Amino acid sequence: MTTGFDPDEAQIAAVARGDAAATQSLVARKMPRVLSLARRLLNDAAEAEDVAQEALLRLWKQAPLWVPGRARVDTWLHKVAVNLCYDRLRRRRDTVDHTEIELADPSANPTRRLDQQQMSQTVESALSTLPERQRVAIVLCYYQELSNIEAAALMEISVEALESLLSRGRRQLKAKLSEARGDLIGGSAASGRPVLKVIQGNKI
Amino acid sequence: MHIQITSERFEAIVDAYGAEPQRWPQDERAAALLFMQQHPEVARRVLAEARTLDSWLSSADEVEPSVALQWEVLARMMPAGVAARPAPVVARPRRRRWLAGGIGLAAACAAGIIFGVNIGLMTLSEARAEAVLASASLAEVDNW
Repeated sequence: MTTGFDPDEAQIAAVARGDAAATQSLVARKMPRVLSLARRLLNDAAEAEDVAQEALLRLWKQAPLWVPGRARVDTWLHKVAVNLCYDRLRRRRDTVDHTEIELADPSANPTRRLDQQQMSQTVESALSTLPERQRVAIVLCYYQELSNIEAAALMEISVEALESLLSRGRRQLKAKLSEARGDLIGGSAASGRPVLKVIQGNKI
Repeated sequence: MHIQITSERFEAIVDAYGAEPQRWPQDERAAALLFMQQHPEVARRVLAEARTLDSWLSSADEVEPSVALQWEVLARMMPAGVAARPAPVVARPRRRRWLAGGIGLAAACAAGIIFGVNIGLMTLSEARAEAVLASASLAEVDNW
């Protein structure tokens, strides 16, 4: 399969030649996206850093073997990072199941003001409770801004299946966030009880 | 070829990809935009529902990697250290001799500090590398 023009190919060739500046630049350019992807799929900062490091190391090792036109560097890197995340999620599922996760603790904010940081945490938590493939679909299309064709190919599913995952994921997210937001703004904060509890490990 | 989409399809696109046209499938974007012009009432209702979730999703903070993490990766890629490589030759302006001596001393001190930090980072990164490699169970991936 050919992929058309890839703006990263020249840099990969430079990395393969042992160009230190190109390697530094590659790490600086790719690290934020890979870290962001891993952070949103794993919801764990330390694990996300390990995945980002490992994915970039694999790209660096792959550089001398890179076949131009066979795959886009960005897509390849996303594929490796998503697989590393799947590995970790699988191991996590084997050891931790049916863990109760609190989306937000209203007692942490006595003014009940839904500020930016709190909303961000709530969104990240809600995202982490989605079934794995719905979460991957939303992160790839929404946060990583891959096209539907790229995301579907990366997940090895059809575009129709991707759309179905996206729709169901967005519906679930909206329900969870509406509830969390309503509770945070509304009266349940006064009761001191947790806002919303969900069970991890649910299937698609 | 001119593609036309139905109200159901427009709703399905927004339901899956959100309210921002740049996220919509490329092959259907023009048709969906045309649908919006022809059916503004339907489009407004469907888009308004999707925008709520879009705005919540966009409120999630960006994740920024630390400088230390970038150096850890580089230390694993180039174990000899970036500092060990010959510095690129850059034309420098001539300095007065007394100033050059002071700068030389300061540079030597800085090099010592950088060397020490580099060794520390490498030790830290090696330990972390072992942990990552031990836990990674993925087979080698070629570039398809």
